[in-house]
Amino acid sequence: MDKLGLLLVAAYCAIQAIRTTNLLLSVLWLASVSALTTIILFTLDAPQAAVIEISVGAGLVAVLLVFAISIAGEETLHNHDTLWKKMLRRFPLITVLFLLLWILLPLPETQPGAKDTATFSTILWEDRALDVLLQIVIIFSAVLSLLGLLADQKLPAAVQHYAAPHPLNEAASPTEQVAIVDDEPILEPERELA
Amino acid sequence: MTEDELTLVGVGILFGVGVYGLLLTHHLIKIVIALQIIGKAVIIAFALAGTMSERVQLAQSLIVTIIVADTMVAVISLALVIQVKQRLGTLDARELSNLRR
Amino acid sequence: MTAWLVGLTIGLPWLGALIVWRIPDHYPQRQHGIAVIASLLTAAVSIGLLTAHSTEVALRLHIGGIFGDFILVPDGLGVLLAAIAAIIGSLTVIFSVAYMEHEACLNRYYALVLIFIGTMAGLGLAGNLLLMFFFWEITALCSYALIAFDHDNPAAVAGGLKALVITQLGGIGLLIGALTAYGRFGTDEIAVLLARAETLPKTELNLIAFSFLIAAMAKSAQVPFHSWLPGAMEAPTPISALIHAATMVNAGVYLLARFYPAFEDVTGWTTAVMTVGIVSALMAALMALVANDLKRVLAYSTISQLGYMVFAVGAGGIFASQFHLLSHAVFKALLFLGAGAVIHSVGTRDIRQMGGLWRSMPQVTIAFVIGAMALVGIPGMNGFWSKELILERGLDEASPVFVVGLLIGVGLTALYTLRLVWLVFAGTPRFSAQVHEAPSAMRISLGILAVGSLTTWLLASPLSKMLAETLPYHHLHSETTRDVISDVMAAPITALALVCVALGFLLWGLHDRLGWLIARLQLLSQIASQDFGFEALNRAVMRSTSTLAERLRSTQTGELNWNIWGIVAGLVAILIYVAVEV
Repeated sequence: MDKLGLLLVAAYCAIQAIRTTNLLLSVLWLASVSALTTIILFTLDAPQAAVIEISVGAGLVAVLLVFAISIAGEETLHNHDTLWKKMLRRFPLITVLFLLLWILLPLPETQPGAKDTATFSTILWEDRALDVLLQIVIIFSAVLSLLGLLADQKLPAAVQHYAAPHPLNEAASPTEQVAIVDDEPILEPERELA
Repeated sequence: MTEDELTLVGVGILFGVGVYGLLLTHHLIKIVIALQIIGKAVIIAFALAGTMSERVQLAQSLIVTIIVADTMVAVISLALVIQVKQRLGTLDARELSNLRR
Repeated sequence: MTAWLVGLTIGLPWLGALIVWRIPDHYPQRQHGIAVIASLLTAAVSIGLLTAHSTEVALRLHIGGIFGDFILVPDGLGVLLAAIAAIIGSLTVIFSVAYMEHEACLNRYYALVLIFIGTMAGLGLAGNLLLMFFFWEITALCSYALIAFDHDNPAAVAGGLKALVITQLGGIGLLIGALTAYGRFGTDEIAVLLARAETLPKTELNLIAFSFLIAAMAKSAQVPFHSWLPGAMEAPTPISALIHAATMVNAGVYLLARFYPAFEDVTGWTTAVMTVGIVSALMAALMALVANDLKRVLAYSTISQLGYMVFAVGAGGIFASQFHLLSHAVFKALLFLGAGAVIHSVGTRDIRQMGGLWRSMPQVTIAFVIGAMALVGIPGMNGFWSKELILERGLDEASPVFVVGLLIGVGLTALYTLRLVWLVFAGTPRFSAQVHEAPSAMRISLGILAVGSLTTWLLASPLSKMLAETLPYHHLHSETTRDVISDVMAAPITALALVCVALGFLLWGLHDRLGWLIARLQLLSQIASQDFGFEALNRAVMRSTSTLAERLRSTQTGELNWNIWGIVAGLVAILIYVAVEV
């Protein structure tokens, strides 16, 4: 029962994270979801995963979010509700329906005798060596693309062309305006080639 | 209902909240946050499956994979969010759409 | 030791690619230099690998989990493919030093070529179906990126995409076969599939056999999947020589030869393979006869020769097909590189605007004529011995219809090759450009390949011995070069083939007086130059696909929330289904 209670608290925090209009508060609520997740993982006998979750989930991701908010600025959006949006707000009903279905499902019988004998590190480094390798590749490519994305470089001509007639550019404040270089050749979008 | 099933219901609620967030929000950073919530629900579901089948260690190694992938998704999408803000000056997902309809 | 050789054959070019990739464009000499060094080292290692062939697993990469290990096996078929890729690869890289001079983005060019060489070696050496599939797809990607190397040229981009789409369709065939085998055996090792193929249920074995055949047809550009190869001729000419003549297109033949023992008892499989080979050989030869683009003529001739190899596999002639694969790789690379030298100096690919080139570029002419003689099968050249072996195999194993088809193909080959050589090198010049002899880097590659076209048939006995020793499931007998010579000389079909060659030459010699016949065949030649309608079929398929996509566009609003709705609705539907079922 304690796990269900913790999960309900986590769900409350999650709702707050989504509903609040203050982005920094929202990040704090997310971090508390992460902390509760860590506790639940401990009660489920998964201490290593719990440690990684608290350091990466609550620590790294929260820091990154705050960093992104500080660069991108706290912009709150106005919800101009349409009929469609009102329908969306009825969504909790659908969630409940979906949960009922979930509960209706009997849990699969677990097979006895399939117990792990190996330790966490053996499984991670030996049985799932391919996973670890792919994770390293993912991290590596994420770092590379991050460097590329955050690098302060001139836009390629094709992107300028794409971005130029967009109405948002006029709306943006002058300091955030993209520098458009006129002497670059402007490429036609690929659609014309076909 | 057994305790495991009750916990699974809790996981479902947390997952549902994340999906609810994705359905409702247009804010790019909020989208990242909602994705993170879904990720947490999935992690707990894996740990639960691990205890039920008594293969916690396998579950833990899978959880580590999920955390890594989830974090990388967050990192890349935040970098994209920053770029979108700098180039187009908005954080509203609706205004990014440039598809011909 | 063997592990090192195997690892280096794949790893060295990849390492070279990484280094070349990092060299910026204002150091072209370094880019050329590193590419040449890496490819030459790979060629040297691959020669070492040829001597170290065995059936043992040379390199085992533990990847954990359910898929078992990735293994690399240097058996005869594999090391042959790896060595061809590495050696012809190094020669084309040397040729590129002159051909690609003053081009931009050389780092991308060389990096892709080197990645391709390593991957092709890996494709040959892979001992798992899954690993083989990975390499198979990477070669397709390299081919696509290199065809579209000049990405300002819409024709090049379109050709690259076409090649990518068609070969990927074939890749799906390979994946289906591999997964079916994996599902039944619990392992995807090739040796297991070969050893236990009879234990598979009949329908599954049929599925694997025919999906592998489709994969091979798409990769080796066999009818009806051939139309990507002429489009791929937009690539820089050294790429056409390496990827679209000497190596990647052989992968299909390699696949069929590799799995022949598993599938030979499948009803209709060998007949299907032989039919595909013959149809491709004849149709491509007709198309080569009416094409006016120098590289397209060579591309159609490649399809035609690949048809011969596919036929040989279908007829059970594994050695004959691999022997012809070796010969063809050498002489077709020579022909393409010679064509590259011609195009480089004349500046057009249209053979109607060439002519009389033997005066201005005599050395290229000699090399090209040697290659052409090997293609036709003039006695003494490498193409002669291997092609005669295939004909002999066909006479022994296949029905007379096939044999007649093969002989007509031989005659057509002689006809279109003589036409090509005549229009390009003989007669009076029909162009105004100032033409010089090719630069020395080009002549080195051409010279080595010309010597190869004259001599590789001497390798018959080591090749046959290697294949017989390392392929336990194929039950091959080792043949010496002397056996091959006496077989070919004694076989009656050799004389028939030579008569066909002579007839082909005669037809070209008399083509001025045969106006009435050509007029009668006008319709056929028009159909052939329209690619027998396959091009139109391709376009129709493409058009209907894009129309369908256009109709489906309205479902894509680009709104995230709408997509999430779709996902949730799908999830609910699945849950309902599961709840009802359980």
